[in-house]
Amino acid sequence: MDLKIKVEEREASLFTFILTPIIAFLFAFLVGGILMEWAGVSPVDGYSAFLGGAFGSPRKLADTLVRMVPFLLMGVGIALSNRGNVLNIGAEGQFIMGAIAATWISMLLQDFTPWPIITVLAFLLSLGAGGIWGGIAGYLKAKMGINEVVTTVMMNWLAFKLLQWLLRGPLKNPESEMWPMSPHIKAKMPIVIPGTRLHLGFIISILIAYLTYYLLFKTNMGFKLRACGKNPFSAKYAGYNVENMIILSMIISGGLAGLAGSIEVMGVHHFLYEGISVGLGYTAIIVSLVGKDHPLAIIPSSFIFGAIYNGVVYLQATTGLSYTFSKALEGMIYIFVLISELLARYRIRIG
Amino acid sequence: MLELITSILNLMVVTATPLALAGVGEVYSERAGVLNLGLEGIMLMGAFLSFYYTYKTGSCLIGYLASLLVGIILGLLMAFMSVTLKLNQVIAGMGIFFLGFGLSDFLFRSIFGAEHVMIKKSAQVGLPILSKIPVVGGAFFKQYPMAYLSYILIPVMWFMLYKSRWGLSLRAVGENPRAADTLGVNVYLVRYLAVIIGSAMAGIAGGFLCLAVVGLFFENLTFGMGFIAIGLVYFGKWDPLRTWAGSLLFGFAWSVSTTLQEVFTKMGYPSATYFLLMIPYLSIILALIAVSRGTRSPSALAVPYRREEAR
Repeated sequence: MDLKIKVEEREASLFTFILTPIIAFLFAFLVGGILMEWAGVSPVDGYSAFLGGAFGSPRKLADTLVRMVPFLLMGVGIALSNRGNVLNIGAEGQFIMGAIAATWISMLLQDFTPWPIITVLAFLLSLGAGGIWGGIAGYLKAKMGINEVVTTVMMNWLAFKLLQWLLRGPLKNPESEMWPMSPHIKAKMPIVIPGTRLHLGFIISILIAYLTYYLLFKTNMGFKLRACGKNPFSAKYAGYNVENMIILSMIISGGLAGLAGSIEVMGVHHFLYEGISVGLGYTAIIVSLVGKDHPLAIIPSSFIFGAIYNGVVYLQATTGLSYTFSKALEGMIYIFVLISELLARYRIRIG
Repeated sequence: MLELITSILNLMVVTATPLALAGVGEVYSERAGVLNLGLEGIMLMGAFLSFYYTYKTGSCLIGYLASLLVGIILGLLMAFMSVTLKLNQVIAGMGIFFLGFGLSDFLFRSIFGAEHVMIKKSAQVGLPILSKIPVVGGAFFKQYPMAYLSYILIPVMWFMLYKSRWGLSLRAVGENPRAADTLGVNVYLVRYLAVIIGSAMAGIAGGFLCLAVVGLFFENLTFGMGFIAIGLVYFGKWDPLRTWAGSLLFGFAWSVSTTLQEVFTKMGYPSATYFLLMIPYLSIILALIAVSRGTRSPSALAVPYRREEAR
C-alpha cells in the first residue's frame, strides 16, 4: 500500500471558482448522456430536446423563469441558514406549509374580499407558516442541541401528511371526488409579460435575493449571523447570542420557503394538490450548493435548475425518457460540484 | 383481542427491523467519527436493486446480495469523500442521499415505465417451538429471515463494539483519532471499514423494505426511514442495543397508527388515516426532545482527521 493521497490547501482564484462548477456540470451532463444512451435515447436528440424545452421559444424561456422562482426563494433561504451553520433540509415542508396557508386564507375570504388584499395577506401568512415550521427546528437545535437535519426531514413528512389530510378534509374541493385537491383560489400573481406565464413572483424573488444579499453582507445582523456560523465559540465570546441567531436564521429560511409555496400556488397552479412540491425543496439545497451560498450567485444557479426541470419535462414528452432523469442528473451535479470545489480549494497529491 | 395484540407486535418487529439494521450500522459509522447522512439514499438504492434482481432471478437471496453490494459501493464513495478527501460530512452525506434518491427512481422508471410490477415477497417463517408461545411467539418468532438475522447480528455487533480489540480501536478513532493513531491504529482504515459496514447494513435494510414489507418499488419507498434511523442513533445515545430498543419503540408507534388507520377506515373516516400517519414522525421529534439532555456525541464526530497536521 504505497498509494497515498494528500490534501493541501491552496489559494483559489476567482477564475477557478467560476470555472470549476462549469466543469462539474459538463461531467454531470456527460454521465447523464451515458444514462440516456442506456435508456435508449440518443444523447444528441435528448439534449437538443432538453435545450429546446428550456429555452426553445420566448414562451418556454418565460416558463423556465417561472420555474426558477421557488428554487431562488428557497435556495436563498437555505444559503442564509447555511451561513449561520444550520442546515435546513426542511424547505420542502416549509414550502408546503406556505402553500397551505395561502390556500386557506384565500378560501376563507375570496367570496367577499378583492384578490389583491388576499394576495398580500397570503404572503404574510405563508411567511409566518414557513417561519414557524422552520423556527421549531431552529429552536430545538439552539436550545436542546437536536440535530436539525433529522428534525427538518421529520417535519417535511409531517407537513406532507398534513397536506394529504387537509385535501381530504377541511380544504377539500367537493367537486373533485377522485383527485384530492382544493377548490380554485382567486388570489393570484399578476402576469408581468402578457402572453406568457411570467408572473410578479419572479420580480419579487429577484428583489428578495438582493435583500438577502444586503442583509447578509451589508448589515450588522448579517455580520453577526455569519460570525455565529463560522465560529460559534468566538462569536459567543464577542457577546453575540448564538442561540438566537440559529433560531432567527431558521425562521427567515423557513419564511422564504413558505413564501415560495404561496407564490407557487397563486402564480402557477391556482389550487392546492398533493404534488404541489415534488422535491422542489430538496432540489433547492443543490441550488444553494451550486450558488456557493451566495444570494446573488443563486440567481443564475436557480435559473439553471429551472431550465433542467422544464427541459426534462419536454424531454419526456418528445423522447419518452422519464422525467425522473432530472433527479438523477441533480444527484450527479451535487457530487461533481462537491468534488470540483475541493479541487479548486485544495491541491491533491497522489503517491 | 390477543390476535390484535399479536398482529400489532408483529408489525412492530417488521417495521423495527430495517430501522435497527440501518441504525446500528450508523452507530458504527458515527462511533468511528463519520456522520453518514446518506442512509436514505443508500436504502433507496438497496431497495431498487433488490427489487430488480429478485424480479429478474426470482430469488430473494440474490436481491439481498445486490442491495448489500450497492451499500458497500456507496459506502466506499462516502468514505472516500469524507475520510480521504475530508469533505464536510454533512454535505457529502446529502450528496449520497441525492444520488440514491435520484438514481433509484430514474433506473426504475427507465426499466419498468409506469407499470406496477409486483414481485413474490419473502414470507414470514415460524421457528419451531418458540413460535408456539402465545402472543410473543407470533410476534417475534414468526418473522422474516432478516428479522432473525437482526436478532443475532445486533447483539454480536454490540459485543464487537464494546468487548473486542477492534471495537476499542473503532471507539478510540471516534473519540480521539490522534491518540489512536499514536498507538498504531490505522485511523483511515478503521473509518473506511466502519462507514462501509454501516452503508452495507443500510443497503440490506432497503432491500428488506422492498422484498418483505412492500413487495414492489415506488418513488420514496423508504418514507424517510433513513433519516429516522439517524434520529434513532441520537435517541439510542450511540449504543447498538439502545438504538435497537428505539427502533422497536418507533416500530410500535408506526404499527399502532397503521392499525388504527384500518379501524378508522372501517368506521367511515378514511381521511383520518393521514392524520394518524403523522404520529410516527412526531414521535421521533418528541423522543429526541426527551433524551436531549445528557446526550454526548463521539468527540470526533463529523471532524475529518488529517494525519499530516500537527496540533
